[in-house]
Amino acid sequence: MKRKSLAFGVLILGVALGLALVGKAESAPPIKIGETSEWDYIGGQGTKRGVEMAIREINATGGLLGRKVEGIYYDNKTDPGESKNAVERLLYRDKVDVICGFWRSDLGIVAQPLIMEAKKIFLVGGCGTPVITHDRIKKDYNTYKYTFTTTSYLLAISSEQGVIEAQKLGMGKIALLWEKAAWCDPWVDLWSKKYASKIVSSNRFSTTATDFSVEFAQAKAADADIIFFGSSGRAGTPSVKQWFDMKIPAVYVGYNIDAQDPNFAQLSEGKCQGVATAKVGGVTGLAITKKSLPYYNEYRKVYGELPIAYTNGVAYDAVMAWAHGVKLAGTVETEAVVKAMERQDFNYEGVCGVIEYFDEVHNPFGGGWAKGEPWGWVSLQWQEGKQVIFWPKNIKTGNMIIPEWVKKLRGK
Amino acid sequence: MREGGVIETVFIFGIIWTALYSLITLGFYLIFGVAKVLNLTHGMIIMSTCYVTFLLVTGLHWGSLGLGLIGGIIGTVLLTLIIYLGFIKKLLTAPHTSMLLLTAGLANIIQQIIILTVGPSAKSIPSMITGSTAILSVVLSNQQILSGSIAFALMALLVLFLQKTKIGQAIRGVTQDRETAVMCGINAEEMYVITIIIAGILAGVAGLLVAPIQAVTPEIGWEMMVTAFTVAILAGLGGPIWGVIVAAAIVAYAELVTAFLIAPTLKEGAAFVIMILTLMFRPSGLFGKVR
Repeated sequence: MKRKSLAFGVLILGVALGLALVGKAESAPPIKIGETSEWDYIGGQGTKRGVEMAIREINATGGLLGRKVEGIYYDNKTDPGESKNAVERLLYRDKVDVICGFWRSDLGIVAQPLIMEAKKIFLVGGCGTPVITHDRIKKDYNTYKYTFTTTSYLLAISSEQGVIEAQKLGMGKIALLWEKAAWCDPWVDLWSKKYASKIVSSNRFSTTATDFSVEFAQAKAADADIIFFGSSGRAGTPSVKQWFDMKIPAVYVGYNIDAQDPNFAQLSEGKCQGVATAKVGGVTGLAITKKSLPYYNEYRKVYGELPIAYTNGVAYDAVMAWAHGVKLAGTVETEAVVKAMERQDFNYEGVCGVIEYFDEVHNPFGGGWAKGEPWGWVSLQWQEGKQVIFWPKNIKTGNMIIPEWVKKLRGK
Repeated sequence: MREGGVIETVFIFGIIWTALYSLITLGFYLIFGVAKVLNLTHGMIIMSTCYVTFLLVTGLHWGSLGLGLIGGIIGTVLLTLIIYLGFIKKLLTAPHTSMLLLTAGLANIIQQIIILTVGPSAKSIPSMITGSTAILSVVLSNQQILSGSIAFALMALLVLFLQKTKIGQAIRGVTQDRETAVMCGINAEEMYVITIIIAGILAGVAGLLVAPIQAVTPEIGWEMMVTAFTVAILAGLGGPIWGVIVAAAIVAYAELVTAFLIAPTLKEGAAFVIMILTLMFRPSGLFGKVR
């Protein structure tokens, strides 16, 4: 009788303990991920959507360390003051565990010190400037070590591939035509020196410009055969239409955020034949890794459209890589996660590529991109209404071409 | 290409942009002339036409661009009437500051509605006509030539309407002296509504002519407003319609020449410089009657 009572007592105690533990797990506070970006631009909207996609996936697969993950989102309205406010709200009012955000480099540069001061991890949502990682981490590791990016600061190198390939095809005189923006300023300075003897026309334009008649006329008058164009704003479609309509006898290469859109052939009314741009390969609908295509299809299902800007894949990978670091560390505590993300055996497979490890300035490395190449980025050209990747060589799906009408105008 | 290619390009594109800037400004200019209302929703109304057309053509698959264009203009006229009858009319006798605050607020609301419903990404309206033509060795798209031609034709029609028809003369009468016009039996309120409808049509057509040439984004509303405001200030509020064309030409050529001779990054700044200089040294504008 006594033994039965004891057994019953142990059973009751076990059930009570179990219920208490379950209750504790259920009541464990969620892990908070803060997001802030420029929602009125497709780049910033992409960052937000990438974070949403990652959180959706983490929660659908049981959460992180057994805890639910919650996203807190603020529009920074593409304004430096609003960006600072958003970051401060996330850090001190919402008390987030990590922040992912910023597509515009100028805003990321302004907000980064605030996040570092609070010793929280900053996952770069799409800024391409070398300042945030390469310059600052190299100069002051202890202050800036909490920053990680899945947008390589070398991304502009993939824009330059169009020039390199065009030169191989016998084109040589360059018209340099890039927007005036923080992310590309160091690169434009570099190219201005590197190609000094080849540049026959050079112009910078504002990020709101949509008319390039004068700049194209100058390029044509200087007999340029390469239009090296760069725009992360809305100049993309009008510039391509104008290049085609004005019959500028030069190949159009560089960085054009509109030309990254899988629907660009339709948007440009078929005028994009031969236009080359850089893009994150994992969001083009190509199987860069085994996660790329499922992500591409899931994105389409969730948002009812194809991934337009590269930033969605970048932000998704940033959050998922951080989650991988949290699992390795077994905690969300910042210092421990930084150490885990710095491990040489980090090995995270994302949609944009495989991150074997983050290098000394916390840029991703591995997955087919060599040292000094922009991880995750490819160069593609529009050919017969399709995006053909012509760089890097172990991922490429075709070769760069010169459009027939350009050949004809140049008598080639 | 010959050495003079760039100068010829500036000249030809200057004509096209003169026509389009004039049309962008005229609706705003007319409403001020008749009702003395500084309507800052004007740019957003132009932008809305582009979005309505985009949605009709691509979203609802009306199929025909022509039907989409007509739908865009009808939508614009309705929006203009709603703004006038629902909001502006109630503040007609209030100070200009109240009207500016009201219309600026409405403009922001329209822009946010577009961002929330259609999204921030750039949209493209298909060209009404394909192909390109060389004029003075400068190759232009046929759409650009068509846009410029329609804009000039519409302005000529507007001048004829205001000078030759009874309604046009009544509108001019209210513009010049409202009290006397009312004493002569003209229904000023009716003229306000007719002017609002005309302004809506002009804004709608302006949007449809500019949209295929450049990308359509929620920001173009404010940019068009700045253009309209600058041209109107330079022309002088309450002045003749041809004054608007002269002012539009000055702004268009100033932008192109700035891009050519100084730097393309400063192109958009040229309009602001003109606006500031006009307000400082000739507040009544080149041909205006209102100080």
